[in-house]
Amino acid sequence: MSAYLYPRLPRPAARQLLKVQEGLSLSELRSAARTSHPAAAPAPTGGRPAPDDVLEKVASSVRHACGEQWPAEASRAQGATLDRAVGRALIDNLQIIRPDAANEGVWSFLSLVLLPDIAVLRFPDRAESRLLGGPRNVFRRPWERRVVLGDLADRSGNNGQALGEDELVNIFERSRLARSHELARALAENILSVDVGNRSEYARELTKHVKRQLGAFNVDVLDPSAVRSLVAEAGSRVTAGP
Amino acid sequence: MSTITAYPYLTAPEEVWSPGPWFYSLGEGPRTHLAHDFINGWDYQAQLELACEVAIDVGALRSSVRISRGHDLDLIVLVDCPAFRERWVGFRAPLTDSGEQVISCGVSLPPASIAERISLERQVVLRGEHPAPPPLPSRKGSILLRDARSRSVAVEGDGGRFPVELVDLSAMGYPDALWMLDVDTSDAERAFLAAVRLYVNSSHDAKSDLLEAGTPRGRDLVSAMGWDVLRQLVVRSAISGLDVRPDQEEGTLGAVVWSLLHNRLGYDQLADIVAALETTAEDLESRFQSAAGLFT
Repeated sequence: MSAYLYPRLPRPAARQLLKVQEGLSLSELRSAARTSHPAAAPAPTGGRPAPDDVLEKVASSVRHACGEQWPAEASRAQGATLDRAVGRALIDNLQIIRPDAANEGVWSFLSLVLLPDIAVLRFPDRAESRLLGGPRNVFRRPWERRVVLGDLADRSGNNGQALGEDELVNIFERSRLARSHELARALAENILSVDVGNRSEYARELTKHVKRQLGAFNVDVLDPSAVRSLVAEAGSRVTAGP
Repeated sequence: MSTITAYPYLTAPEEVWSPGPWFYSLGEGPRTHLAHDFINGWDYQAQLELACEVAIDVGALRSSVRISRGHDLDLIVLVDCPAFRERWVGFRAPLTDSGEQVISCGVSLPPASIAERISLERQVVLRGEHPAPPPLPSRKGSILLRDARSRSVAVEGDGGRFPVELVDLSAMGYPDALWMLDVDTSDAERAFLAAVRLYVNSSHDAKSDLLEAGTPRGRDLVSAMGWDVLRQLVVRSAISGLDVRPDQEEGTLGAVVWSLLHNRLGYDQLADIVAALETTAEDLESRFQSAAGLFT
Protein backbone atom coordinates (compact mmCIF):
# COMPACT_ATOMS: atom_id res chain seq x y z
CA MET A 1 0.00 0.00 0.00
CA SER A 2 1.37 3.47 -0.91
CA ALA A 3 1.84 6.05 1.80
CA TYR A 4 1.40 9.73 1.17
CA LEU A 5 2.38 13.19 2.30
CA TYR A 6 -0.58 15.46 3.03
CA PRO A 7 -0.91 19.22 2.48
CA ARG A 8 0.10 21.31 5.51
CA LEU A 9 -1.93 24.38 6.34
CA PRO A 10 0.24 26.99 8.15
CA ARG A 11 -1.11 28.20 11.47
CA PRO A 12 -1.82 31.83 10.40
CA ALA A 13 -3.84 30.59 7.41
CA ALA A 14 -5.62 28.09 9.68
CA ARG A 15 -6.57 30.89 12.07
CA GLN A 16 -7.91 32.92 9.18
CA LEU A 17 -10.05 30.00 8.03
CA LEU A 18 -11.36 29.62 11.58
CA LYS A 19 -12.63 33.20 11.40
CA VAL A 20 -14.09 32.78 7.92
CA GLN A 21 -15.95 29.61 8.94
CA GLU A 22 -17.18 31.01 12.26
CA GLY A 23 -20.78 31.60 11.25
CA LEU A 24 -21.21 28.87 8.65
CA SER A 25 -23.77 26.12 9.13
CA LEU A 26 -22.92 22.43 8.75
CA SER A 27 -24.27 22.31 5.21
CA GLU A 28 -22.44 25.52 4.26
CA LEU A 29 -19.24 24.01 5.66
CA ARG A 30 -19.82 20.90 3.58
CA SER A 31 -20.20 23.05 0.46
CA ALA A 32 -17.01 24.94 1.37
CA ALA A 33 -14.94 21.73 1.74
CA ARG A 34 -12.08 21.41 -0.76
CA THR A 35 -9.16 19.15 -1.54
CA SER A 36 -6.74 22.09 -1.76
CA HIS A 37 -6.01 25.51 -0.28
CA PRO A 38 -3.71 28.21 -1.72
CA ALA A 39 -1.62 28.34 1.48
CA ALA A 40 -1.36 24.56 1.95
CA ALA A 41 1.40 22.39 0.48
CA PRO A 42 2.90 19.01 1.36
CA ALA A 43 6.46 18.73 2.72
CA PRO A 44 8.82 19.36 -0.21
CA THR A 45 10.82 16.15 0.25
CA GLY A 46 10.37 12.73 1.73
CA GLY A 47 7.56 11.09 -0.19
CA ARG A 48 4.68 11.26 -2.63
CA PRO A 49 1.99 13.94 -2.14
CA ALA A 50 -1.54 12.56 -1.74
CA PRO A 51 -3.34 12.97 -5.07
CA ASP A 52 -6.85 14.45 -5.23
CA ASP A 53 -8.55 11.07 -5.56
CA VAL A 54 -6.93 9.88 -2.31
CA LEU A 55 -8.03 13.07 -0.52
CA GLU A 56 -11.56 12.61 -1.89
CA LYS A 57 -11.60 8.99 -0.71
CA VAL A 58 -10.51 10.02 2.78
CA ALA A 59 -13.24 12.65 2.89
CA SER A 60 -15.97 10.32 1.64
CA SER A 61 -14.97 7.49 4.00
CA VAL A 62 -15.06 9.80 7.03
CA ARG A 63 -18.40 11.27 5.95
CA HIS A 64 -19.77 7.78 5.41
CA ALA A 65 -18.57 6.75 8.91
CA CYS A 66 -20.49 9.72 10.35
CA GLY A 67 -23.55 9.14 8.16
CA GLU A 68 -25.86 8.14 11.00
CA GLN A 69 -24.98 11.22 13.01
CA TRP A 70 -25.31 13.72 10.16
CA PRO A 71 -26.70 16.40 10.32
CA ALA A 72 -27.36 16.38 14.08
CA GLU A 73 -24.44 17.87 16.00
CA ALA A 74 -22.86 15.31 18.33
CA SER A 75 -23.68 15.49 22.01
CA ARG A 76 -20.98 14.76 24.60
CA ALA A 77 -22.38 11.26 25.03
CA GLN A 78 -22.24 10.57 21.30
CA GLY A 79 -18.68 11.85 20.96
CA ALA A 80 -16.84 8.63 21.84
CA THR A 81 -18.88 6.56 19.37
CA LEU A 82 -18.26 9.09 16.62
CA ASP A 83 -14.54 9.16 17.43
CA ARG A 84 -14.33 5.39 17.07
CA ALA A 85 -16.01 5.53 13.68
CA VAL A 86 -13.78 8.39 12.50
CA GLY A 87 -10.64 6.66 13.82
CA ARG A 88 -11.50 3.48 11.89
CA ALA A 89 -12.14 5.38 8.66
CA LEU A 90 -8.89 7.32 8.98
CA ILE A 91 -6.74 4.28 9.75
CA ASP A 92 -8.22 2.45 6.76
CA ASN A 93 -7.93 5.28 4.28
CA LEU A 94 -5.43 7.96 5.26
CA GLN A 95 -2.29 5.99 4.30
CA ILE A 96 -0.18 8.80 5.72
CA ILE A 97 3.62 8.66 6.01
CA ARG A 98 3.96 8.35 9.75
CA PRO A 99 6.24 11.35 10.47
CA ASP A 100 3.96 13.52 8.35
CA ALA A 101 1.23 12.77 10.89
CA ALA A 102 3.34 14.52 13.54
CA ASN A 103 2.91 17.84 11.72
CA GLU A 104 0.03 19.97 12.95
CA GLY A 105 -0.49 21.61 9.55
CA VAL A 106 -1.64 18.26 8.13
CA TRP A 107 -4.40 17.94 10.71
CA SER A 108 -5.41 21.60 10.34
CA PHE A 109 -5.81 20.91 6.63
CA LEU A 110 -8.06 17.92 7.32
CA SER A 111 -10.27 19.74 9.82
CA LEU A 112 -10.49 23.16 8.14
CA VAL A 113 -10.17 22.44 4.42
CA LEU A 114 -11.04 18.81 3.64
CA LEU A 115 -13.65 18.00 6.30
CA PRO A 116 -14.78 21.20 8.06
CA ASP A 117 -18.36 19.90 8.20
CA ILE A 118 -17.42 16.75 10.11
CA ALA A 119 -15.08 18.66 12.42
CA VAL A 120 -17.96 20.87 13.56
CA LEU A 121 -20.43 17.96 13.60
CA ARG A 122 -18.17 16.36 16.24
CA PHE A 123 -17.29 19.56 18.12
CA PRO A 124 -20.21 21.96 17.67
CA ASP A 125 -18.62 24.46 20.10
CA ARG A 126 -15.84 24.88 17.49
CA ALA A 127 -13.10 25.08 20.13
CA GLU A 128 -9.85 26.20 18.53
CA SER A 129 -7.89 23.30 20.02
CA ARG A 130 -10.17 20.86 18.18
CA LEU A 131 -10.01 22.57 14.81
CA LEU A 132 -6.33 23.51 14.71
CA GLY A 133 -3.96 20.59 14.19
CA GLY A 134 -2.50 20.18 17.71
CA PRO A 135 -2.72 17.00 19.81
CA ARG A 136 -6.41 17.57 20.62
CA ASN A 137 -7.44 17.97 16.98
CA VAL A 138 -10.77 16.36 16.06
CA PHE A 139 -9.13 13.89 13.64
CA ARG A 140 -5.62 13.58 15.04
CA ARG A 141 -6.76 12.34 18.44
CA PRO A 142 -8.90 9.38 17.24
CA TRP A 143 -6.27 8.49 14.62
CA GLU A 144 -3.48 8.39 17.22
CA ARG A 145 -5.59 6.40 19.64
CA ARG A 146 -6.37 3.90 16.91
CA VAL A 147 -2.69 3.58 15.97
CA VAL A 148 -1.86 2.64 19.56
CA LEU A 149 -4.91 0.62 20.60
CA GLY A 150 -5.93 -1.00 17.32
CA ASP A 151 -9.11 -3.06 17.73
CA LEU A 152 -9.06 -2.54 21.51
CA ALA A 153 -10.65 0.82 20.73
CA ASP A 154 -13.82 -1.04 19.65
CA ARG A 155 -13.88 -3.75 22.29
CA SER A 156 -16.61 -3.77 24.93
CA GLY A 157 -15.58 -4.21 28.54
CA ASN A 158 -17.08 -6.26 31.36
CA ASN A 159 -19.74 -3.62 31.83
CA GLY A 160 -20.69 -3.81 28.15
CA GLN A 161 -19.17 -0.42 27.41
CA ALA A 162 -16.20 0.41 25.17
CA LEU A 163 -13.56 2.76 26.58
CA GLY A 164 -15.13 6.12 27.34
CA GLU A 165 -13.66 9.54 26.76
CA ASP A 166 -12.57 10.01 30.39
CA GLU A 167 -10.80 6.66 30.41
CA LEU A 168 -9.02 7.34 27.14
CA VAL A 169 -7.96 10.78 28.33
CA ASN A 170 -6.36 9.17 31.40
CA ILE A 171 -4.24 6.95 29.19
CA PHE A 172 -3.42 9.35 26.39
CA GLU A 173 -3.07 12.70 28.07
CA ARG A 174 -0.49 11.29 30.46
CA SER A 175 1.93 11.25 27.60
CA ARG A 176 4.64 9.24 29.40
CA LEU A 177 2.20 6.35 29.61
CA ALA A 178 0.95 6.52 26.05
CA ARG A 179 4.46 6.74 24.58
CA SER A 180 4.91 3.12 25.60
CA HIS A 181 2.34 1.56 23.30
CA GLU A 182 2.54 -1.78 25.07
CA LEU A 183 1.74 -0.09 28.36
CA ALA A 184 -1.13 1.91 26.86
CA ARG A 185 -2.66 -1.31 25.50
CA ALA A 186 -2.17 -3.09 28.83
CA LEU A 187 -3.93 -0.23 30.63
CA ALA A 188 -6.80 -0.30 28.16
CA GLU A 189 -7.21 -4.07 28.51
CA ASN A 190 -7.12 -3.83 32.29
CA ILE A 191 -9.73 -1.06 32.39
CA LEU A 192 -12.01 -2.99 30.05
CA SER A 193 -11.75 -6.14 32.16
CA VAL A 194 -12.29 -4.63 35.58
CA ASP A 195 -15.52 -5.06 37.50
CA VAL A 196 -15.97 -1.93 39.62
CA GLY A 197 -18.77 0.53 40.23
CA ASN A 198 -17.08 3.60 38.82
CA ARG A 199 -14.76 2.57 36.00
CA SER A 200 -13.66 6.14 35.17
CA GLU A 201 -12.49 6.72 38.72
CA TYR A 202 -10.69 3.37 38.67
CA ALA A 203 -8.94 4.35 35.40
CA ARG A 204 -7.80 7.64 36.91
CA GLU A 205 -6.28 5.95 39.96
CA LEU A 206 -4.76 3.14 37.93
CA THR A 207 -2.93 5.46 35.55
CA LYS A 208 -1.75 7.56 38.48
CA HIS A 209 -0.28 4.46 40.21
CA VAL A 210 1.48 3.25 37.09
CA LYS A 211 2.89 6.67 36.24
CA ARG A 212 4.44 6.98 39.70
CA GLN A 213 6.49 3.85 39.04
CA LEU A 214 7.99 5.04 35.77
CA GLY A 215 10.66 7.28 37.28
CA ALA A 216 12.87 4.58 38.73
CA PHE A 217 11.56 1.74 36.70
CA ASN A 218 11.82 1.16 32.96
CA VAL A 219 8.65 -0.40 31.64
CA ASP A 220 9.98 -0.33 28.07
CA VAL A 221 12.41 -3.18 28.72
CA LEU A 222 9.67 -5.55 29.88
CA ASP A 223 8.01 -8.15 27.69
CA PRO A 224 4.24 -7.77 27.11
CA SER A 225 3.26 -10.27 29.79
CA ALA A 226 5.39 -8.48 32.40
CA VAL A 227 3.79 -5.16 31.44
CA ARG A 228 0.36 -6.70 31.94
CA SER A 229 1.40 -8.09 35.33
CA LEU A 230 2.65 -4.67 36.40
CA VAL A 231 -0.65 -3.07 35.42
CA ALA A 232 -2.65 -5.86 37.08
CA GLU A 233 -0.66 -5.40 40.28
CA ALA A 234 -1.36 -1.66 40.26
CA GLY A 235 -5.03 -2.42 39.58
CA SER A 236 -5.19 -4.71 42.60
CA ARG A 237 -3.80 -1.97 44.80
CA VAL A 238 -6.40 0.46 43.50
CA THR A 239 -9.31 -1.88 44.17
CA ALA A 240 -7.89 -2.85 47.58
CA GLY A 241 -8.15 0.79 48.64
CA PRO A 242 -6.02 2.71 51.15
CA MET B 1 -8.93 5.19 46.73
CA SER B 2 -5.53 3.78 47.73
CA THR B 3 -2.36 5.69 48.53
CA ILE B 4 0.83 5.14 46.59
CA THR B 5 4.10 4.05 48.15
CA ALA B 6 7.35 4.22 46.19
CA TYR B 7 10.35 2.40 47.65
CA PRO B 8 13.79 3.86 46.96
CA TYR B 9 16.59 1.48 46.04
CA LEU B 10 20.35 1.61 45.61
CA THR B 11 21.64 2.96 42.33
CA ALA B 12 25.20 2.91 41.00
CA PRO B 13 27.55 5.92 41.11
CA GLU B 14 28.53 7.61 37.84
CA GLU B 15 32.18 6.68 38.34
CA VAL B 16 31.52 3.08 37.29
CA TRP B 17 30.91 3.99 33.67
CA SER B 18 32.02 6.35 31.01
CA PRO B 19 29.44 6.92 28.32
CA GLY B 20 31.16 8.21 25.18
CA PRO B 21 30.04 10.83 22.65
CA TRP B 22 27.37 10.13 20.05
CA PHE B 23 28.06 9.80 16.31
CA TYR B 24 25.57 9.62 13.46
CA SER B 25 25.37 8.73 9.80
CA LEU B 26 22.61 9.24 7.24
CA GLY B 27 22.16 6.48 4.63
CA GLU B 28 25.55 5.68 3.15
CA GLY B 29 26.97 9.01 4.38
CA PRO B 30 30.06 9.42 6.59
CA ARG B 31 30.06 8.83 10.33
CA THR B 32 29.92 12.28 11.95
CA HIS B 33 30.31 13.45 15.53
CA LEU B 34 26.94 14.59 16.88
CA ALA B 35 28.28 17.90 18.10
CA HIS B 36 25.05 19.92 17.95
CA ASP B 37 21.48 19.32 19.03
CA PHE B 38 20.32 18.87 15.45
CA ILE B 39 21.00 16.67 12.43
CA ASN B 40 21.04 18.29 9.02
CA GLY B 41 19.84 16.49 5.92
CA TRP B 42 17.40 14.03 7.47
CA ASP B 43 14.07 13.48 5.74
CA TYR B 44 11.34 10.85 5.85
CA GLN B 45 13.22 8.60 3.43
CA ALA B 46 16.53 8.70 5.28
CA GLN B 47 17.98 5.86 7.33
CA LEU B 48 19.59 7.31 10.47
CA GLU B 49 22.25 5.38 12.38
CA LEU B 50 23.43 6.53 15.81
CA ALA B 51 26.38 5.07 17.63
CA CYS B 52 28.46 5.50 20.76
CA GLU B 53 30.76 3.53 23.03
CA VAL B 54 30.17 2.95 26.71
CA ALA B 55 32.91 1.67 29.00
CA ILE B 56 31.67 0.05 32.20
CA ASP B 57 33.49 -1.31 35.21
CA VAL B 58 30.99 -4.12 35.66
CA GLY B 59 32.59 -5.44 38.84
CA ALA B 60 32.35 -2.03 40.52
CA LEU B 61 28.81 -1.55 39.26
CA ARG B 62 27.64 -4.93 40.59
CA SER B 63 29.32 -4.34 43.90
CA SER B 64 27.81 -0.84 44.29
CA VAL B 65 24.26 -2.16 43.89
CA ARG B 66 25.04 -5.53 45.50
CA ILE B 67 23.93 -7.59 42.56
CA SER B 68 26.19 -10.59 42.20
CA ARG B 69 27.15 -12.42 39.02
CA GLY B 70 24.41 -14.60 37.64
CA HIS B 71 21.82 -11.84 37.81
CA ASP B 72 21.37 -10.29 34.41
CA LEU B 73 21.98 -6.65 33.73
CA ASP B 74 21.52 -4.92 30.39
CA LEU B 75 22.86 -1.74 28.90
CA ILE B 76 20.08 -0.19 26.86
CA VAL B 77 19.51 2.91 24.77
CA LEU B 78 16.02 4.30 25.15
CA VAL B 79 14.71 6.25 22.17
CA ASP B 80 11.88 8.70 22.81
CA CYS B 81 10.00 10.52 20.06
CA PRO B 82 7.36 12.80 21.63
CA ALA B 83 6.00 13.90 18.24
CA PHE B 84 5.25 10.26 17.46
CA ARG B 85 4.06 9.62 20.99
CA GLU B 86 6.31 6.60 21.05
CA ARG B 87 9.23 5.41 23.15
CA TRP B 88 11.18 2.22 22.64
CA VAL B 89 14.42 0.35 23.40
CA GLY B 90 16.68 1.05 20.42
CA PHE B 91 19.65 -0.99 21.59
CA ARG B 92 20.25 -3.65 24.23
CA ALA B 93 23.39 -5.55 25.25
CA PRO B 94 23.97 -7.85 28.24
CA LEU B 95 26.66 -6.97 30.77
CA THR B 96 29.29 -9.51 31.73
CA ASP B 97 29.63 -10.97 35.22
CA SER B 98 32.70 -8.89 36.09
CA GLY B 99 35.65 -6.93 34.75
CA GLU B 100 35.78 -3.96 32.41
CA GLN B 101 33.50 -4.01 29.40
CA VAL B 102 33.42 -1.68 26.40
CA ILE B 103 30.15 -1.83 24.50
CA SER B 104 29.56 -0.37 21.04
CA CYS B 105 25.98 0.81 20.98
CA GLY B 106 24.18 1.17 17.66
CA VAL B 107 20.67 2.53 17.14
CA SER B 108 19.11 2.11 13.69
CA LEU B 109 16.22 4.39 12.88
CA PRO B 110 14.64 3.30 9.59
CA PRO B 111 12.99 5.79 7.21
CA ALA B 112 9.75 7.30 8.53
CA SER B 113 10.28 5.93 12.04
CA ILE B 114 10.83 9.29 13.77
CA ALA B 115 9.76 12.94 13.47
CA GLU B 116 10.67 16.40 14.76
CA ARG B 117 12.95 15.49 17.66
CA ILE B 118 14.20 12.41 19.46
CA SER B 119 15.92 11.94 22.75
CA LEU B 120 18.41 9.21 23.58
CA GLU B 121 19.11 7.93 27.06
CA ARG B 122 21.57 5.21 28.07
CA GLN B 123 20.59 3.12 31.06
CA VAL B 124 21.76 0.02 32.91
CA VAL B 125 18.71 -1.97 33.97
CA LEU B 126 17.95 -5.16 35.83
CA ARG B 127 16.78 -7.70 33.25
CA GLY B 128 15.23 -10.28 35.60
CA GLU B 129 13.81 -10.35 39.09
CA HIS B 130 16.45 -10.11 41.84
CA PRO B 131 14.94 -11.30 45.11
CA ALA B 132 16.40 -8.97 47.72
CA PRO B 133 15.10 -6.82 50.58
CA PRO B 134 14.98 -3.02 50.32
CA PRO B 135 16.99 -0.96 49.64
CA LEU B 136 18.49 -3.36 47.10
CA PRO B 137 17.01 -3.22 43.59
CA SER B 138 14.80 -6.23 43.04
CA ARG B 139 12.24 -5.56 40.31
CA LYS B 140 12.73 -6.38 36.68
CA GLY B 141 13.31 -3.11 34.82
CA SER B 142 14.85 -1.26 37.81
CA ILE B 143 17.14 1.49 36.50
CA LEU B 144 20.56 1.20 38.17
CA LEU B 145 22.41 3.86 36.20
CA ARG B 146 21.37 6.38 33.58
CA ASP B 147 22.71 9.32 31.62
CA ALA B 148 22.73 12.44 33.74
CA ARG B 149 20.81 14.11 30.93
CA SER B 150 19.20 12.48 27.94
CA ARG B 151 20.55 13.63 24.56
CA SER B 152 17.89 15.54 22.66
CA VAL B 153 18.34 15.93 18.91
CA ALA B 154 16.17 17.75 16.37
CA VAL B 155 15.83 16.09 12.99
CA GLU B 156 13.35 18.53 11.49
CA GLY B 157 13.31 22.34 11.49
CA ASP B 158 15.46 25.08 10.03
CA GLY B 159 18.18 27.51 11.03
CA GLY B 160 19.18 27.67 14.68
CA ARG B 161 16.66 24.96 15.46
CA PHE B 162 14.00 27.59 15.86
CA PRO B 163 11.04 26.81 13.61
CA VAL B 164 11.00 29.65 11.09
CA GLU B 165 8.79 29.70 8.01
CA LEU B 166 8.51 32.22 5.18
CA VAL B 167 4.90 33.24 4.51
CA ASP B 168 3.26 36.16 2.76
CA LEU B 169 1.87 38.19 5.66
CA SER B 170 0.41 40.75 3.23
CA ALA B 171 -2.10 38.09 2.20
CA MET B 172 -3.24 38.11 5.82
CA GLY B 173 -3.58 41.88 6.00
CA TYR B 174 -0.18 42.70 7.52
CA PRO B 175 1.94 43.93 4.58
CA ASP B 176 4.33 45.95 6.78
CA ALA B 177 4.84 43.37 9.54
CA LEU B 178 8.26 41.72 9.25
CA TRP B 179 7.54 38.73 11.46
CA MET B 180 4.73 37.07 13.35
CA LEU B 181 5.16 34.75 16.32
CA ASP B 182 2.56 32.07 16.84
CA VAL B 183 2.61 30.35 20.23
CA ASP B 184 0.15 27.63 21.13
CA THR B 185 -0.02 27.94 24.90
CA SER B 186 -2.70 25.29 25.39
CA ASP B 187 -0.27 22.57 26.56
CA ALA B 188 3.00 23.10 28.43
CA GLU B 189 4.02 19.46 27.79
CA ARG B 190 3.95 19.95 24.03
CA ALA B 191 7.27 19.94 22.13
CA PHE B 192 8.55 23.51 21.84
CA LEU B 193 9.24 22.98 18.14
CA ALA B 194 5.60 22.09 17.56
CA ALA B 195 4.08 24.75 19.81
CA VAL B 196 5.97 27.74 18.44
CA ARG B 197 6.23 29.02 14.91
CA LEU B 198 7.99 32.16 13.72
CA TYR B 199 6.74 33.41 10.38
CA VAL B 200 8.87 35.88 8.39
CA ASN B 201 7.04 38.01 5.83
CA SER B 202 8.18 36.87 2.38
CA SER B 203 6.86 40.08 0.78
CA HIS B 204 8.72 42.47 3.11
CA ASP B 205 11.76 44.31 1.70
CA ALA B 206 13.80 43.71 4.86
CA LYS B 207 13.40 39.92 4.89
CA SER B 208 16.75 39.31 3.15
CA ASP B 209 18.59 41.47 5.69
CA LEU B 210 16.86 39.61 8.50
CA LEU B 211 17.51 36.11 7.21
CA GLU B 212 21.11 36.66 6.14
CA ALA B 213 22.02 38.87 9.10
CA GLY B 214 25.46 39.63 7.65
CA THR B 215 24.95 43.41 7.46
CA PRO B 216 24.78 45.85 10.39
CA ARG B 217 21.09 46.32 9.59
CA GLY B 218 20.58 42.56 9.50
CA ARG B 219 22.26 42.15 12.90
CA ASP B 220 20.02 44.87 14.36
CA LEU B 221 16.94 43.23 12.91
CA VAL B 222 17.91 39.85 14.37
CA SER B 223 18.57 41.50 17.72
CA ALA B 224 15.16 43.22 17.67
CA MET B 225 13.46 40.00 16.66
CA GLY B 226 15.22 38.08 19.46
CA TRP B 227 14.00 40.61 22.01
CA ASP B 228 10.47 40.53 20.64
CA VAL B 229 10.35 36.72 20.59
CA LEU B 230 11.61 36.48 24.19
CA ARG B 231 9.09 39.06 25.34
CA GLN B 232 6.15 37.55 23.47
CA LEU B 233 6.92 34.01 24.57
CA VAL B 234 7.08 34.91 28.24
CA VAL B 235 4.25 37.43 28.35
CA ARG B 236 1.84 35.32 26.32
CA SER B 237 2.64 32.24 28.40
CA ALA B 238 2.04 34.26 31.57
CA ILE B 239 -1.25 35.76 30.41
CA SER B 240 -2.57 32.39 29.25
CA GLY B 241 -1.70 30.80 32.62
CA LEU B 242 0.65 28.20 31.12
CA ASP B 243 1.59 25.56 33.71
CA VAL B 244 5.36 25.97 33.87
CA ARG B 245 7.57 23.97 36.25
CA PRO B 246 11.31 23.25 36.53
CA ASP B 247 10.80 19.47 36.27
CA GLN B 248 9.14 19.51 32.87
CA GLU B 249 10.63 17.32 30.20
CA GLU B 250 13.46 18.81 28.17
CA GLY B 251 12.36 20.21 24.82
CA THR B 252 8.80 20.96 25.90
CA LEU B 253 7.28 24.44 25.74
CA GLY B 254 7.04 24.48 29.54
CA ALA B 255 10.72 23.64 30.00
CA VAL B 256 11.84 26.31 27.53
CA VAL B 257 9.64 29.01 29.05
CA TRP B 258 10.72 28.08 32.57
CA SER B 259 14.36 28.27 31.54
CA LEU B 260 13.86 31.74 30.01
CA LEU B 261 11.91 32.90 33.02
CA HIS B 262 14.37 31.60 35.59
CA ASN B 263 17.76 31.79 33.90
CA ARG B 264 17.34 34.86 31.70
CA LEU B 265 14.87 37.02 33.59
CA GLY B 266 15.43 35.95 37.19
CA TYR B 267 11.79 35.16 38.03
CA ASP B 268 10.49 31.97 39.64
CA GLN B 269 6.96 31.86 38.33
CA LEU B 270 4.89 33.25 35.49
CA ALA B 271 2.50 34.85 37.98
CA ASP B 272 5.34 37.27 38.81
CA ILE B 273 5.31 38.43 35.20
CA VAL B 274 1.57 39.12 35.32
CA ALA B 275 2.05 41.06 38.56
CA ALA B 276 5.00 42.99 37.11
CA LEU B 277 2.98 43.94 34.02
CA GLU B 278 0.42 45.54 36.32
CA THR B 279 2.73 47.23 38.81
CA THR B 280 6.32 47.61 37.61
CA ALA B 281 6.06 47.30 33.86
CA GLU B 282 9.00 49.65 33.21
CA ASP B 283 11.31 47.41 35.25
CA LEU B 284 10.04 44.31 33.47
CA GLU B 285 10.50 45.85 30.01
CA SER B 286 14.07 46.85 30.88
CA ARG B 287 14.75 43.31 32.05
CA PHE B 288 13.51 41.96 28.73
CA GLN B 289 15.83 44.29 26.81
CA SER B 290 18.75 43.44 29.03
CA ALA B 291 18.12 39.68 28.93
CA ALA B 292 17.86 39.74 25.15
CA GLY B 293 20.98 41.92 24.79
CA LEU B 294 19.04 44.29 22.55
CA PHE B 295 21.39 45.84 19.95
CA THR B 296 24.52 44.75 21.82
